Amino acid sequence: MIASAQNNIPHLKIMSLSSSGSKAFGKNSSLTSGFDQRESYKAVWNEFKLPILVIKTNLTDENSLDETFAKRNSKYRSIPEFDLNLLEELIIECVSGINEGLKPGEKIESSLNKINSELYEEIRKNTVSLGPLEASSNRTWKENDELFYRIYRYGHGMDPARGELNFYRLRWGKPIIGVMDPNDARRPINRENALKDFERYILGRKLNVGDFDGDIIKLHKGNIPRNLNKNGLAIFSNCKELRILNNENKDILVNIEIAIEEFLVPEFTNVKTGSETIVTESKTINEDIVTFSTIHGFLKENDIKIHHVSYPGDQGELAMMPVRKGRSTRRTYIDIVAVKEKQLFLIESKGNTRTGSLSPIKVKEDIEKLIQFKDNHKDYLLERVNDSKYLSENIFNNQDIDFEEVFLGVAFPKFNLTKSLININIDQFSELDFAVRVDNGIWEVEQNNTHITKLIATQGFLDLPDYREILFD
Amino acid sequence: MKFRIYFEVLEQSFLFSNLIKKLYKDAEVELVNTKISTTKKFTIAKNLYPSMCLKDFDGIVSYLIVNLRKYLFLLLNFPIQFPQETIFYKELMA
Repeated sequence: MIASAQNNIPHLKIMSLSSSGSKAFGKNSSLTSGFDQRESYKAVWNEFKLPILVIKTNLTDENSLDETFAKRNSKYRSIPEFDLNLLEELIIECVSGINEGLKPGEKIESSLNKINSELYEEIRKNTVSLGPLEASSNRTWKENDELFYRIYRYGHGMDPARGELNFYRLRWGKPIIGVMDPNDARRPINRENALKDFERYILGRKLNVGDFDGDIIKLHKGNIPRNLNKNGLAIFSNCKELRILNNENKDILVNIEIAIEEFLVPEFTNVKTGSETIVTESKTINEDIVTFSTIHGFLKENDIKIHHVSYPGDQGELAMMPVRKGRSTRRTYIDIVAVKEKQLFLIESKGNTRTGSLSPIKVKEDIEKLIQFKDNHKDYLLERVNDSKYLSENIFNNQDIDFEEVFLGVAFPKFNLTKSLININIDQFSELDFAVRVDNGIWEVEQNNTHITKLIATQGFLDLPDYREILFD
Repeated sequence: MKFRIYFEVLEQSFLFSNLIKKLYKDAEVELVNTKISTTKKFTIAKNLYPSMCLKDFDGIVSYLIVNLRKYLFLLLNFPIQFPQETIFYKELMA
């Protein structure tokens, strides 16, 4: 959103206010922290006059853990259900703007107070003026004319905090003081380990003597890395100071002064802006294509219905959390969860990448992961799948299934980037039931288990849609 | 009209290509797989800097070509649990 604002481009958010995992992660997770997302849209409108449209996805009923999930398109499970009318109207407005010689953003802004359609009504909800900033919680508070914001986690877990840092900086109008109160700090908790966490998760380099002024670390544009990670960007763009606390007794372990006036943007100096990246014929059988071919080829031909799919880059919703440890709960995602009558199919998918062939070791790791998960957590697995039944009313009809068998499979490209066979002997994994090999629409199944003899089709061809890929030097 | 959709998940690109074809009978839609390693970057079009110079990109971008001019049209990240975002658009190049 900040990027949109900086570039003065209209912004659309499609959001799912589902509550998956909130019980496992506790009340301080972003989903339950009480942060009102709409406030950020209003703040951006107030500051930049950026029109923002929010479309909410449809949600399932709550399950036994009070979870809801985004409902999915019955044919294409990676597509959430939402009000397509809004999106259609938005596309029409943007296209008509272009045809009238306007930028779509200009078109929307100029029509904002003239048209009373559903689209403009939704956009207007985010153009309300904001009152003074309220900040009196454990997470955000004011003290001596400074605004403090508490951050609970490092690494990927800092994701929600990054957005909120941008928001509070915008609302406050000047840099704020970040308070790192990490419950995932390196142990034992002491200054030395806090410095290591700071180096690894925020600064992205080792600290040196020149960074210190006594006990205080002083950072400025001249001594921070040019390619900061997302956490570093959020901290150094929005904070004048960062305090790292001892999470147990709240003493300050590390104090960092940040003297950076301007808002930092990611480093794009290596991008060739003088020309468009070339698009070429598609050649790579990546994980997306393997998963797509497995679902719309092998599984469809065998009348095995998709319950849940986690495409690469499409963060899956059905987290498996057999051992719950609050915030440190480990989540496992299975790429494809499918059902046929009382049989459950779990499939892991792997592909070549644009820059490298798939290593057989990676496939073997996935096979072992699947086998271990089934061996160690079979009861949980069956219970969890049934507890997510509202995701697939067409399979479950809102009733639990008494699964009789769980089949494990793996899908991967038949050939690597040099057209050599990816050679994996699946006989060595007695608990693996089948492997699917994919090559440009052709799929073949190798069965490894006499139990799985009811397959209607063990090979076939899926006519993939015409698509291209980007050519890199 | 010509549209181009950059996708990371092929299935998800169907939402847009189908919608565009429904709205504009004469639309030609080209699908482009953008799945890349996190160290690679690509430019959607000349001088598209910096907001749309994409690194670690995971969404859909489409642009519209009218009278040989390209207009960036839409960027979409699909939602799962956390709010994701769609950025609308900026004129690109003559």
